[in-house]
Amino acid sequence: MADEKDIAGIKNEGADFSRRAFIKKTLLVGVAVASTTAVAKKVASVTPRQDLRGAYLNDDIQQDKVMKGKEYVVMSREEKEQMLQMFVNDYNKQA
Amino acid sequence: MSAEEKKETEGTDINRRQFFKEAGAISAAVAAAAASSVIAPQEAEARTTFAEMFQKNYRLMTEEEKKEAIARLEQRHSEEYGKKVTVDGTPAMKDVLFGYALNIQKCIGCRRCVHSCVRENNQSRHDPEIQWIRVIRMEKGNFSVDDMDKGYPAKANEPYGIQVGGNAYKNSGVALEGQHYYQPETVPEKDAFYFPIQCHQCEKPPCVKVCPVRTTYRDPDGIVVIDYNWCIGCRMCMGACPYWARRFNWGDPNLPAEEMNPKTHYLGNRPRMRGVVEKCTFCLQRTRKGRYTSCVEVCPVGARKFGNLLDPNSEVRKVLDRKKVFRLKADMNTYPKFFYFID
Repeated sequence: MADEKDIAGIKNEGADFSRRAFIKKTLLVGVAVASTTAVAKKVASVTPRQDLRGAYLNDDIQQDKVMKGKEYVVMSREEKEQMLQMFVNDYNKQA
Repeated sequence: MSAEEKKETEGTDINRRQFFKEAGAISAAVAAAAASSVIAPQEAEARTTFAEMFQKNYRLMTEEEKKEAIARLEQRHSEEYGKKVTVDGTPAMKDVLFGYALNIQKCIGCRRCVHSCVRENNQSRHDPEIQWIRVIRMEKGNFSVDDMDKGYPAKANEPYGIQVGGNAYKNSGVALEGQHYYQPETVPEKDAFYFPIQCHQCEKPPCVKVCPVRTTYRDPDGIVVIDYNWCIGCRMCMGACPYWARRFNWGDPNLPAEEMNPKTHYLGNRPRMRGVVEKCTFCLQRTRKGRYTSCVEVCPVGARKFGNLLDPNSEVRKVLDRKKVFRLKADMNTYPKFFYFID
């Protein structure tokens, strides 16, 4: 009986140990993942606003560059009529 | 094992259990806190629900799916901005093709249109303010449209080449070389004129052709729209636009709740998120209900005209019929439906 108890005790301890280890590991992994994600997210959200402003400014400059070379000319009556006809035809086609 | 030892061991065991229990509780609390910081309510990205992440491209949705998507957005935005936000899904009207005309002779460069557009369309308000309309200030030159077809050499030995369709002695058109960031005390300034630029809603839009996920497309009423949920932020459309009329959200848009316009459209002015492209939609939340765009409404000098290109009696058709209308000299076959004109 005493032997059985001991054996049972050892068995239980083993089971208890592995369960504890599993819980311990799970908790550690969970905490590690959550905190890493949180830190990464925080770091990403704290990206300097100046960098963002620079990015927006670059887009503005790009538009300036693109529009600088553009030149507008007056459309002739025929051009206008052709264009309008094309719009109407396209609309009728899709309808 | 003696009774004392057993007691001690039990005590240790309880302590260890307690320790695990407490550690578990603390870890759970830390994890919950971390998770809540990940899905903080101000993070537009994190607010996106699972269903929204995996929804179809708006164009391919059934009517039922569209309704569901709209209901999800209405709920999310209403919670987020603390007011009743409506997201409209009104499709293009029948027998309507929108066109826009702007009188550059009348424009005084006040930029009321710019700010009205920002308010109407829920654009980011600061750091920086995103503007769909930009006004270029230009020095008045000596261009005269009456000289357009002159300029052929009067004599055979004249040292000027022949410039067909232009004038060899003067600029043949309006060259866009100006500045966006003018800050005069009063407008209009002497010797300056103003050239507002926004999306031209091209009939054959190059931005649509290059979109790898087909998130931007041309609706039957001619408006080029974007399904923000499908935009991957590749910026291909921006590079393809001949007018660079699209804007990219580098950061989370800053839209204060009290300034948010609660009447939105799914394809138009609903709040956007970081990493997506946006642009003028001719205020489709208004125009698809028979109203003018906000820039047309606010223009103090009536320089902006808007209407149906299929209706011969519309304002925009009358402009095309009777006024001197401009086109880009280097025609890129995009056929914009936004025209500049002079009287």
